[in-house]
Amino acid sequence: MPIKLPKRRPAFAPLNRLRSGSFAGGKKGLMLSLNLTAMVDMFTVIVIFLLQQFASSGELLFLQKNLKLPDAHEAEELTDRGPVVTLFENKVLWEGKAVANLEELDEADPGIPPLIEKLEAVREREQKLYGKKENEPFKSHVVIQADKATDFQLVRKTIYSVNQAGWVHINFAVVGVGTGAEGEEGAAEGEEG
Amino acid sequence: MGVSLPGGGGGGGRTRSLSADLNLVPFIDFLSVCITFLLLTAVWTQISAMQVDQAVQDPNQEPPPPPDEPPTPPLTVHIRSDGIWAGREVASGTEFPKTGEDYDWVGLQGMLEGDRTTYPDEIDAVIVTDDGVEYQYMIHALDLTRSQGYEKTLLGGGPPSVAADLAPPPPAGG
Repeated sequence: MPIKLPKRRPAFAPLNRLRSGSFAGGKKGLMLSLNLTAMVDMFTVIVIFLLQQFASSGELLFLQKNLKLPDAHEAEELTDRGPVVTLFENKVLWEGKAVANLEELDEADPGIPPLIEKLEAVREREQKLYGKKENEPFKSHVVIQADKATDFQLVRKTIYSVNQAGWVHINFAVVGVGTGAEGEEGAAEGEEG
Repeated sequence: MGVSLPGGGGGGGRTRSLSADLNLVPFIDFLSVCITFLLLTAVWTQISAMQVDQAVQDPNQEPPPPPDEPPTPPLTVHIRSDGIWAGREVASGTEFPKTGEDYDWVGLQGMLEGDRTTYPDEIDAVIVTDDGVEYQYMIHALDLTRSQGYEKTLLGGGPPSVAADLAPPPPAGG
């Protein structure tokens, strides 16, 4: 078999829509078929991930910007939506609006009068709404959402005010952490400390 | 990859391809709507809660009869700015001084485990936190007591104190 010099050969079969021939000149078509399979795969993975993250209970608390909640291992899921008292930057916020400031509060007074008034009003309204008697124990929860660096003096005054207003069940909002790796990590940190 | 079968009708050698292109456009539309909805409704921070009931006795119930034996005093954890004291009585309590900026949580946990072994039926704990101490340390102590099975917690607090305030009085003549 005689040896022949190599000629130009196409590396792939010619696409009819692009070119009429392998080496023919002609105009390039502007239409390209996009491979959608990879995109559909990616969308499916994203949808599955987001469905796993989906929580039907929704977000019960609105977190202030820069407010950092403490971590806790023994926390339970927050299911009851009660009145929310936020303690942040030495301020007491009722449903997001400031009602008192630690610097302005009387040190001799163990409570926070504006907070007591608001909590009493809510309790009386709920008791009327559900036909509860005055001396029946009030079973609703109040949520205290405090920044982790809050001075306990403010927390103490808030707890006292909550009790004074007739509320006994208090939910401290925290960020729940698992009991697995985080717990071991926390113990290790503690040993180092 | 298509599958070809001989065409029906007994005609010549014509074959009809059974492969068909699936129209992916509505599928992509549907997935896009799903992703948008799920992104908007996603809850990125799952907030939990630690419940504390500050009521010791239901006012409508009759008070319980006095016990035959004096009740065991509840476990008290006192968090101060310079350390933690824990115990059931002032004389037998344990002091955990602060090391640098950190509280001795490991030491406290060991003490709680020992107390739990000694008093397996006692589930009451009192956490006293001084003014000026950060709130996160109270939550940490509450978390530790709950993890050891102290389900009933009473919270308290007051003006700042130091370790000397809690030390038992020295024995006479000592």
